[in-house]
Amino acid sequence: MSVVSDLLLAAATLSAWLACLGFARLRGALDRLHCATFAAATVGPAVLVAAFASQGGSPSVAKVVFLLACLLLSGAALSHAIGRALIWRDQHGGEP
Amino acid sequence: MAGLSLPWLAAGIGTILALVIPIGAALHGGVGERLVAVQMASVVTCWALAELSFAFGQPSFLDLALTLGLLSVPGTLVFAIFMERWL
Repeated sequence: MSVVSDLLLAAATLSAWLACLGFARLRGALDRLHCATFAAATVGPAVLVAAFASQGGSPSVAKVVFLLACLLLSGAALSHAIGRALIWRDQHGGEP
Repeated sequence: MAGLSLPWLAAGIGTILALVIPIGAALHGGVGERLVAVQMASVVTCWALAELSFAFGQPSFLDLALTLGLLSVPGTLVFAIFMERWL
């Protein structure tokens, strides 16, 4: 199980870097929102499974489950709110 | 150091290093780009804190990550509405 945990941790770190590099590569706030969603949707599950593989069912793993649920649910709502605000600013002459 | 887990520590440090990009992006550009950069940085920071919690064997770090994750919701929402209406 240690090998599985290590591989998942490596995948989580690589996913975080991939999201951040994509964030730097893309232009425009709306495009960059996809990178934030990618980071929330890939790093979190990898960390959760790695934690479960290394520690089993523990209170810390339960907290990670709650953290993942919070970030996934709130990430969707926040991405919608930010995108709506950005489009509203574009349509009403805000800062480009 | 007792309870130190090197794979988790390496993952945590690697994730923290990735934070340089969104923090750098938050220092440049328009208001919208900065807000998206803050959102990105908060997500990455949450998972870096979670990894460091397992690395050092300190469950209290997970409470920090949970607090950050929960507080980033109203903060980002308020800023998005503020940006939409007044900035």
